Amino acid sequence: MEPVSAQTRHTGKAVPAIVPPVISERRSYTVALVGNPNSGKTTLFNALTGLRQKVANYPGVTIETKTGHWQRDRAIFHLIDLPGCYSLVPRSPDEAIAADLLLGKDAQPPPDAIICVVDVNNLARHLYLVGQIIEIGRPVIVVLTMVDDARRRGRSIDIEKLAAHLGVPVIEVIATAGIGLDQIAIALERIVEEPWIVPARAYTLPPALEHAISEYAPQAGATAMQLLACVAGQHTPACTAKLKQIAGQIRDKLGVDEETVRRFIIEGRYTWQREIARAVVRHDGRAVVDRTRRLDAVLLHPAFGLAILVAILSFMFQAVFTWAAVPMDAIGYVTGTWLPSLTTHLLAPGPLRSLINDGVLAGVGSVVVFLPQILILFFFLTILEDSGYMSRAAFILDRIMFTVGLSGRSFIPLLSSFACAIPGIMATRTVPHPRDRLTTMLVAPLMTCSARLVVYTLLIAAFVPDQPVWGPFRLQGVTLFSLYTLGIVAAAVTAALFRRTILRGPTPPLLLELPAYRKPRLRTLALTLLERARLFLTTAGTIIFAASIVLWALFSYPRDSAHEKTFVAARQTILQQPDTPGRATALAALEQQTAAERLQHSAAGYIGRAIEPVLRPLGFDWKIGIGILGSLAAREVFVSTMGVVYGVGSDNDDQSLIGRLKADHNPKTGAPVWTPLVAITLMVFYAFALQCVSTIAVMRRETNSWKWPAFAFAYMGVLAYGAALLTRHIGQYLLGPLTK
Amino acid sequence: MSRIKTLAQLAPGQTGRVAGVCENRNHELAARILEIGLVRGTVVQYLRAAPLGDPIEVDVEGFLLALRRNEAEAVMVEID
Repeated sequence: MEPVSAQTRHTGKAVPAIVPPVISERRSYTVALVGNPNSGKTTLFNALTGLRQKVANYPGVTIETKTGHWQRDRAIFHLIDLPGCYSLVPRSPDEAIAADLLLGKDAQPPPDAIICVVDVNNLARHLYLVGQIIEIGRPVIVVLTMVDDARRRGRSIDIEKLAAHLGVPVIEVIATAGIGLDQIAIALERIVEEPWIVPARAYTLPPALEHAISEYAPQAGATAMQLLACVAGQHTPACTAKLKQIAGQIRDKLGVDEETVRRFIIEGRYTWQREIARAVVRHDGRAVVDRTRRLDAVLLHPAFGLAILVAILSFMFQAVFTWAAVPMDAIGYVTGTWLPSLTTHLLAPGPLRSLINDGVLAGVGSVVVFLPQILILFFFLTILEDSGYMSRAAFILDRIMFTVGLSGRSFIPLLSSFACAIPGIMATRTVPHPRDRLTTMLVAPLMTCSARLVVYTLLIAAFVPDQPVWGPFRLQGVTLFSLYTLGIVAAAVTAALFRRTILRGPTPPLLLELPAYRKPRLRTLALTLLERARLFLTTAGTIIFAASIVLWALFSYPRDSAHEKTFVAARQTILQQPDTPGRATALAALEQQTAAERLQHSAAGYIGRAIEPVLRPLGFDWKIGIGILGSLAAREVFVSTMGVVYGVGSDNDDQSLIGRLKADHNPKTGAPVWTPLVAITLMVFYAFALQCVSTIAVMRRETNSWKWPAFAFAYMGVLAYGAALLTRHIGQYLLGPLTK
Repeated sequence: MSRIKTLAQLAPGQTGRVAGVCENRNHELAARILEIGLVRGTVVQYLRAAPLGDPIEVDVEGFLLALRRNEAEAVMVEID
């Protein structure tokens, strides 16, 4: 963000008469794009920059500002898309960033110009921010959006009159059709080159205050605007000790406090902006509101409203599961079968082949396999957000979320986490309040994701008897349902707990705009999906990939050389026999046995045995320990790891694995390793533990720190261990000697 | 003859004019409510409560706003 130096400005004025502008000497300006949420700011930004944009994390916080280039013949504009805000008196981190950037804090120069985006259908309201922006004193143009929408409904604006009232250029645009963009460029070039005359304060205050300000300002050595800010207790840098003292005198004289002065200012602004709106709007735009109100009567209906929401959400999740299944299987086939068989053909058996097949390809596969679910979920979420329905969903569900200290905005991210915590955590960006957002992120992994389902399915099929409980309900189904309930209850309780302890603070008030309904735009959808995919693959993907390689190394090394020699010799013996089906079976059996023995000698095997004393109180042995360790890559890996440990191969069917599990006995005591209680305890452990590097990576990405993912891993680990221990003890008490 | 009620007490469809925002409970909240446009003299219409009873939807001079009853109780409304 390079400021335009004084010299550039100077030559810019002196040169053109002699030398025609040369393309390579285009001047560059920084331009901030600011506006209310739902003002069409992002649509304008996309229209100006196209794909030449990037998302930049604002230092220290998780809210992002987008930047992009807009190249014109004579100038390059570096556009910064600021978070949507209602006011420059910051009340949320979003608004604080916007204010900081516009005023040029932290040694960063303020932008050369500001584009203030205003929805023409909401002119009276959006002028509030416009008034504050103009007062900053930087060059400003006001851009009116949604003009086509307004025209269709017979509403138009006298833009010359509006420009005269505001004292700044006003331009109408239809961003999607590219109409008005040239005028923006012309106006921008003009306002950054010509001296900027700051319009005087336009709104009025009560006469006594008005009088006191103009009387005291000269002797305070400040402008009326600076003094007013001080009187209102808005401590800007211009507010010196002397000024504060005078401000106090003024308040005492008038018998008012800071809050009252602030109220005067807000009321003054609204009076001013509503007068302007009345003067410049040629036709009332009630039609837009009326259409939205008619739709709300149905979509927010006391009975149908909830039913429609449930229907939309069920369809969405059905789609996430069913539509994603095909691409996920395809990705699984390519990275899990096709490419490994290719390398098997090309490379001799050995460490390199194993690294590529079991490390690299498995790692890539475990990253890319999430992409279909993420894209499908965000396909729906973007449409819901863009159409205006998302705010309605938050409106309907706010009551439920309020009981655990959150707001309606947290519901969809948590619901998404039933598919997978990764898109769920990514979806928390729609939660405006930072404490709410963090709480949502921390409890999202407690929702039962589809990876846990794989583990539950195996263990329930193996150890929970399929007997009727009551009516149509059978024990296996009830067990699964209980595990889902357990996740939800745990999420609700921990959310409430966090909001009362580490993330304590008053529940932020809900002042939620329910924007007018509109057709979702394809361009917004495409750009959002592209950005999501890129962010996931580049930032979270690299961590997940690296972790997969590390886990591969742990599970493959070190190897016992004596044992390796025995294996090679045994393989040779079998290969010398004639090629019969019996030889193939013997070879496969040998491979499985070797894999199981290798795992025992590997670092993972040692770790599994090392942590056995810790797992013993839960009734788990070292083999289950290895399974838990393998689950760190992804929970469903537990099943294939167990397959390897029990020597049935990693891709065998569940039935042969279940047989081996049931047959396994403790060599010392002779008691079975696996009992129904062990299975239940293990499932409770899985319900709570954060065994997923992908989730950790995404949480790191979204919070911009390792602190919160580390905390989530720790608290969920403690919860998992505690709950599993409790389950075992209660189980032993209830079942008595049966399980001893 | 006009009566004063809180915004939360209006009946669905009922319209009123904002008489003021109660500041003695929470200054921060009062300022936010004012900034969103519920200043003195603003015409508001209570549209409906959410299916679960809270929050409520109101029309603030053509702008649809959702707020909880707790917040709406701070807004004094004059009914003609």
